[in-house]
Amino acid sequence: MKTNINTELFTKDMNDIAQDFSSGNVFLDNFLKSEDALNNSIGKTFVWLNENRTEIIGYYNIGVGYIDMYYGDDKYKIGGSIHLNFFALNEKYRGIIVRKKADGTVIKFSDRLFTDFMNKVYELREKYIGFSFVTLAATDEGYSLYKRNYFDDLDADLHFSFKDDEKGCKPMYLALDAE
Amino acid sequence: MAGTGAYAMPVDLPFVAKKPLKRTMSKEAKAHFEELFSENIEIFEDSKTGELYSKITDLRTGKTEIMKCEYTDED
Repeated sequence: MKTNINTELFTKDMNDIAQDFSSGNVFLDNFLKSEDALNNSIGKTFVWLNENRTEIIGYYNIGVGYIDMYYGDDKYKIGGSIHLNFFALNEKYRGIIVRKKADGTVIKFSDRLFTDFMNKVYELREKYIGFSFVTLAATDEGYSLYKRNYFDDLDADLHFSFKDDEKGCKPMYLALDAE
Repeated sequence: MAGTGAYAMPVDLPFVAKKPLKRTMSKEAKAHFEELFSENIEIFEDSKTGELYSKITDLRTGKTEIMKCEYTDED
């Protein structure tokens, strides 16, 4: 096995290898195996393939959203967002540390896939569309990955609406304008 | 608002949320992402032992480092 992080847009001809994808979360697996993974109304799916293109190491699907702020009795839109609809890593690669920094910080396979996602976010923001935030709804299992990458729990005065599949998840966000 | 210009609108509306409403990325988060974007990590398997290794390249300096992958229970 040899792989460089190099995600590409998920296409119909990858459906066969998508059927073998197993993250340990059946809902996330079924999304990739369904036609929804190719549905532009939901989002765009990117996959990380191994060198031989026989296995999907991980995938993510991105769409759009927004954040509202409660201000007294009113609610204002304070910025648009890129919303991470789905994010999953093949369970074979879960928990693997690929880098240990001098300060003890670790980088895992999941961080590498997440870094690729963040690269896409910045590319979209610089070249194609303006927005202020990245939003997501974290499962309990994914929460530490997003915390490690500086995502915050949504403040009490902020709000974004959940999709049906996100009920029970934790709303999180990252502001993109630097201090 | 998406208009044609034919409708008279107030001229003193802010284009974006004012300062108190604004949320920003911390310096630590910015540095974190800059560092991640500056590294290339290639993962490969030792065909004899089956063990995984990572080759980390600093894209700014070209310096490379090889590390044997370790395992944890989390993500």
